[in-house]
Amino acid sequence: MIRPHLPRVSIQHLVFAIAGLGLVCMAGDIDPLPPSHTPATAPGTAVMRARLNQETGTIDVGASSAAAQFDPDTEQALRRDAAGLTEVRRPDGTVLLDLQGRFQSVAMVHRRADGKLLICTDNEVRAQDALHGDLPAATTPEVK
Amino acid sequence: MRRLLLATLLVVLMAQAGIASTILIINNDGANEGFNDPTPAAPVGGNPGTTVGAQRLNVFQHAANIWGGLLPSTITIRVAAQFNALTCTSTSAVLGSAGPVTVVRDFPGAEVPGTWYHIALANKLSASDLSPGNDINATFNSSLNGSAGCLGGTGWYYGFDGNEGSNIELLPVVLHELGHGLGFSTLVGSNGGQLQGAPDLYETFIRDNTQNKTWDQLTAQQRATSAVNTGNVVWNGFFVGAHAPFTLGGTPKLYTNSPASLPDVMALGRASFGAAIDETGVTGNVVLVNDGTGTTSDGCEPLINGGAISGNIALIDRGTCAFTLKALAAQNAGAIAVIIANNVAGPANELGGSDPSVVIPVVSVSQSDGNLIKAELGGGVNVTLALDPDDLAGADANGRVQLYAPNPYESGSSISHWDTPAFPDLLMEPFINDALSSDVDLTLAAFTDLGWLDNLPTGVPPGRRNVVALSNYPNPFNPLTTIRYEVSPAQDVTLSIYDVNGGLVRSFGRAAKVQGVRETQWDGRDNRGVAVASGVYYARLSTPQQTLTRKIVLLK
Repeated sequence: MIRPHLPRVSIQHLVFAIAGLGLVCMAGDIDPLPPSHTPATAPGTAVMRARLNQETGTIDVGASSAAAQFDPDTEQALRRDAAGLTEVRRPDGTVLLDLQGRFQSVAMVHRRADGKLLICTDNEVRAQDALHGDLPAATTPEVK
Repeated sequence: MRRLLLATLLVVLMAQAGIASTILIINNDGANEGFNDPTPAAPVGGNPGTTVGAQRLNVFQHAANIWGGLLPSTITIRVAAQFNALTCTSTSAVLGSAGPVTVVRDFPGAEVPGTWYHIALANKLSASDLSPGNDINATFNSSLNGSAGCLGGTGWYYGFDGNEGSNIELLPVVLHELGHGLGFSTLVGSNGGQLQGAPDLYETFIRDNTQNKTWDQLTAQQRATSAVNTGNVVWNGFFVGAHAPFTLGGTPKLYTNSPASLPDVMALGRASFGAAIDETGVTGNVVLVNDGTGTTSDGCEPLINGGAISGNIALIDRGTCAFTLKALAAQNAGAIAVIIANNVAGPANELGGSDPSVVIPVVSVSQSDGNLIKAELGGGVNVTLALDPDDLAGADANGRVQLYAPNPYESGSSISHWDTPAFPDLLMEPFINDALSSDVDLTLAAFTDLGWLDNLPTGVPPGRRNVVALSNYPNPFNPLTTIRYEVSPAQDVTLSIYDVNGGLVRSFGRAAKVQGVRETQWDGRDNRGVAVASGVYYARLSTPQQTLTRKIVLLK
């Protein structure tokens, strides 16, 4: 399997990154941290997750089953922070930014009694909702 | 039908003009996996591949060819693609992801300064490969291979014909995700922040009708607020607005003919089965069904007032049995259409279900409207169920197409999609319709707004075309450009200049019975004689049958 080299961040790194959140937010930057950026885990392994609660400003850390986790490719695709991204400036004024596999759109499918539902999102929390079947009822019209 | 004509016309025009780009699928998989999976497979649904890997590659290249046939670029677009074992549970799975490898701003040829462009579009505009290497990432799930542990054995369908059955057709998903990678996506974060403090091109076309600004003019907090401003966030581009009437359908409505005491117009919900309602509509007297059992108006048992129903529009209460069964019962009694009244508060609900044997129009009304109708049935109620062609499904009152901004956030929330009320379904809606595997519909107009194409003819069948050419020279220009057009046969024409937000800049008025070649000069001034700023403008030439547009760039 050939994968692009992607930077991996441990939970300890995540905590340090969170410590710098205020500055990042004041700079008007993109999402302040990888919402749930965790190392790859073996299937069935329980892992710790850390996430900034956007409403309270606190950090939610807790255990969840590996079933709630995305694979590393998808975790990276759903990242919308700029941490570690480096602009390349050329003499003619051109500015390039390699997104390192972030800022992707992710298609998902969920099966339920009335059929399968395909969705696309670029938001990690919304993707987690879809993974757990927390889907809006209105998307599939009721049949009676 | 209009949509089919538009699609046909576009294909013909693109082919005639030789418009195309090469989109290469770069196989990033290792030996015996992903695109190189040697598992034998029988050709299926037009896909001639004889291994799983070959069929996957054929699907990707098929989607790439669709986009490549529509989007002009002299620079080859490289899609780094791979199949990996992505997340899959018994009920949910990641299908795949895609997006730009690199974004770029302030490059030679950039039409909007200080703004991030997806690299494939930037390469096209600069006519150079600004970042040699891959332009789009695409990673799809190899676990959807029929194994029981993943979605209960559901797998990919690699045919091109939409016969996926209970499997998942790969083609529309790839087509949709490549659309994001080519430029139909914003880089704004969920907190409203911009990437490195700079706007992206897509964001400059997102308009919040409440705040009367585009997203690049808003603060991060205002953008976050706008992201849940349902129904009030629209695409603010000229070409999408011009093409929406040729792509989106009207909105079904109930028009009251009598009695006068009822509201003139009532909102209707659509059904996923039965005949479509057109602009002419169906007119008839409304009769409440009676099945003689329990809730007698729910139509779940054999109707006992079939004679009264025959030739009229059946009104049926929601509840107990499926909508399709209610409709079929009324149809069998001779009803010409069915109105199902909701039995809970709220708007007229969409009616799900499928039954090809239902061939009459079926719609719903809200519970409150249903009660109003029932209260007047004693004196007779006559209505027309018809499409309002001026109320486009999925557009605001000004015809601007809505973007997806659900409140509260829902799964699939992303402003990088059209909104769900759009009808017919669009390729770039958040809920991917796996029946859409070849038509890129309004997204091509959005790509024209973004700069992929200079102009896009509106949907008039070739046999009815009258205006045969619209051009200008020089372009870009300063201080004067000549707009040249040719008309045949003689007809009235109107020529105007618009800005990128659709605002009228300069009107040259209406000329009667024009025939042959005409030229008009524009000096870069608006109707008040004020010199306009550098930027992109659109010349719009309209006849009674057709509208043509051309992008004009003023560079001072």
